[in-house]
Amino acid sequence: MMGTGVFDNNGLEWLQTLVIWYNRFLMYYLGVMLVLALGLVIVGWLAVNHYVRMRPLRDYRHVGTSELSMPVSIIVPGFNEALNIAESVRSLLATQFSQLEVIVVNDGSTDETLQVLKDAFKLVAIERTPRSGLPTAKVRQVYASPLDSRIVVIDKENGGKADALNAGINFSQYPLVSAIDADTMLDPGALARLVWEFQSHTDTVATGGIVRIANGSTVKDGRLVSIATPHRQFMANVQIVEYLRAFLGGRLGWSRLGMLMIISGAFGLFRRDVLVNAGGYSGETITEDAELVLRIRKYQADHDQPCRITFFPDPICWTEAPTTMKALVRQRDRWQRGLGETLIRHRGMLFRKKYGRIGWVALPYFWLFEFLEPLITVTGMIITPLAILFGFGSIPVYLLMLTFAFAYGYFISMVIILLEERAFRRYPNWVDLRRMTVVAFFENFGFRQWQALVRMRAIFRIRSSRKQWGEQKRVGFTQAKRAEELPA
Amino acid sequence: MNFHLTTGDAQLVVYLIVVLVVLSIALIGAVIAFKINRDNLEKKSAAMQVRILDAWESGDNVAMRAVALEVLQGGVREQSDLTSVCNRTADASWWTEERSKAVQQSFIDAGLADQLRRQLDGGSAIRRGLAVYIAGFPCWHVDPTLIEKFTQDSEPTVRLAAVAALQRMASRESADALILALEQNHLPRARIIERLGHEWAVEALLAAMDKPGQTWEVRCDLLRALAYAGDVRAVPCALTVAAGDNKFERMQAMRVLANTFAKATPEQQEQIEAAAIKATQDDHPNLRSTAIDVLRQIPHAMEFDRLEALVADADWFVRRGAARALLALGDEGRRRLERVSAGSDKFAAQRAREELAMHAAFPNYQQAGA
Repeated sequence: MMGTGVFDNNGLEWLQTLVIWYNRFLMYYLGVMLVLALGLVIVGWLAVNHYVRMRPLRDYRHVGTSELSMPVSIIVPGFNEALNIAESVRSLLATQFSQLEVIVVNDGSTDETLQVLKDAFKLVAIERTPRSGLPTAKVRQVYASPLDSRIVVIDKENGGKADALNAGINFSQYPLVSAIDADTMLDPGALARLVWEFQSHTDTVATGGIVRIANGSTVKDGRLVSIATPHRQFMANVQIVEYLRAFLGGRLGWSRLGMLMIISGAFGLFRRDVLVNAGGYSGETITEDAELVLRIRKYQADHDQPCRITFFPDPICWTEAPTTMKALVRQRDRWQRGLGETLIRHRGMLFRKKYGRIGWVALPYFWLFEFLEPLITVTGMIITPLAILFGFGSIPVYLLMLTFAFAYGYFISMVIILLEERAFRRYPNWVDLRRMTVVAFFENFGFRQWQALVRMRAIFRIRSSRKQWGEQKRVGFTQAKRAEELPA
Repeated sequence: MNFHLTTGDAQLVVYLIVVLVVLSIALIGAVIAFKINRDNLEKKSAAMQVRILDAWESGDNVAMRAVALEVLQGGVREQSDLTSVCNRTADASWWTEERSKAVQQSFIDAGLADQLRRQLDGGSAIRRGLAVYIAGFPCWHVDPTLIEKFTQDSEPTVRLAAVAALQRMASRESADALILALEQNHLPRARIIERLGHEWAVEALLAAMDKPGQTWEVRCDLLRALAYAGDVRAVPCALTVAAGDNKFERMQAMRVLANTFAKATPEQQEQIEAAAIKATQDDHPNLRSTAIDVLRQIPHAMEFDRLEALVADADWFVRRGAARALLALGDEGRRRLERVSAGSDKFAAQRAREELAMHAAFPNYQQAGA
């Protein structure tokens, strides 16, 4: 930093100057990033306040039961999901929304996924003409269920998740399409809440709900019956706080500012025609959900069409978080690589007037403060202590920076916990609050730094290897206890 | 290398640790205080709702006036509690005329009615919305024409709350207000139609159908609402429209007839059957498909030939409807369908085979909604 140099060797002066300038850059970078992040949290807080106050006026029950509500095709892509798939489909059919169809796409599974579906729903082979022509791997057969007309199963050759989703889109018949992962559970009223958004704001083309961690909660008949944080699972608990921070502190703010760029692949609702026009999901990036939203924005802007894309904090989708280090590393690696691939693919949108705030604000932010952040952070973590060791740096300033960074991170996490308590209260018990506040403190001592390393490594692994399905091993919600396993 | 930690640096470390500890305590304290506050607010809210419900159920004028005063003196939260209670008492049978009048009077006496009216005239979207929302319930009497203008409110939530309120009012006046909103086209049409599709709106809908200069788009929407209402009073109008020139109106009229056939008089049923038979030859596939929905309710032997022919229709939905109608008519219908499945028309045969397979897998599949 601006410390005193004790080396007299001229050959090292350039190194000293470099380090000093880098440290200055790091300070400004962190300062700007933290101010912007705080701004997003404030905007998010205001948005939640507005939502909570207007919530009593929203007649979700009517949306769920009306025959004239905008109908939804839920697409569930599946690869080797024999363990969960039938329960997942039943859970979706039990959602409090009457106008829907559930399209399960069996993407060339090598296990008993299709047979499980056949047995569970007495599937009958039918002819069904696709309504759009998104290119996909070959569809072998389409099935319907005589038990429930809302079920459609597409059996196709393996093509990856994006390919499976596109096959589902092709065969969907309704104007709204939702892509939901097979290993997630929807809150019963979640779909009605998302559809309400389309019905109240007719220029909406896509909207996403919040994804929460089900670990530690109790599942019965495919539904969450009680919500809790897991006991003695630091990794799962830290992800709970992390997800809250990402959704309530990040996406909510971006949505309110009209610059939302990501709708979670686990739970999103799109206008079908816009999806098809934009070309459907792409298998060229590892996180097809993030890339799709940006491509939709681009398409709509190129064709001068309205493009309202929002995040809605109330409709909830529950998912299982990885609890092993290996699975978590794979997940974070994939997310970072996917982000990079998406940004690189759409770099042409940067600083283009046509793309408005997306091109001038959101994309630069994501480049600088999301994609490159781990690289800059890790470099700083290495250079600054070395500089001090070699006499370039100033210990007090370094300590001050560390303290400020920690305090700020902790502050933001606690604000988000307050926000969750203010608006949703999904964790009403004191023990859950205690766990979240504890992990919010301790995640700053190692977890965040470790995550930065993982993400930095991912930057250099972009396009080096790609798997098309999530690598997390399915364990059938074992982390969320089943009601029948609990002591009487 | 040259590294050393001075006494000043060590002191700084201590200070920073103290700062962190103090900050942590402050943040944790804030979270705890906030949670306690939220817990208390939730309890207060639940208690408030219980008081309101108890007062209304008791019929005690003093108690009702007291809770109305409490809502008046409160804020948005208290009015939200009031809406929660209204939702819980949404069943029309709970609101007897005597109870409605008593609660309305308590609102007037406490000044809450005036406050809510003032909220309609200005203020924030949330207060406006709350007043509009409450207006739909029997606890506060409001002229529907006063609410109609909020179907054009700047806030989408308030617009939808307005149509919901007009539906809950369930009167001729509120139906007229909804139809006016439909004609003015400030809201997605489906949002209004779904609120109009009830028996209490039928008279207004029929009157609007006869309104001179009504556009065909609005007439179609009115017919859709009549179809959802499923009231036999709509049959004469639907029969007239079904014989008209506009194909879109004819289609909607056929939907009305399909939904009212079972409740129609025998004479009307004959007329509906004739209209449906004629409609099976119409150019519009949706009309042919809807006509089948009528014919499947008529177990006359002569319809088998007609339905069998329709399994070979050019339109997929017509083919499916006809195949299902045949299956719904029992063994003879199934035999006819089996004959089609072995026939030369590959599209008809495919449709027939699929429906027979569905039927074999689960005979009640049509009742299961499949």
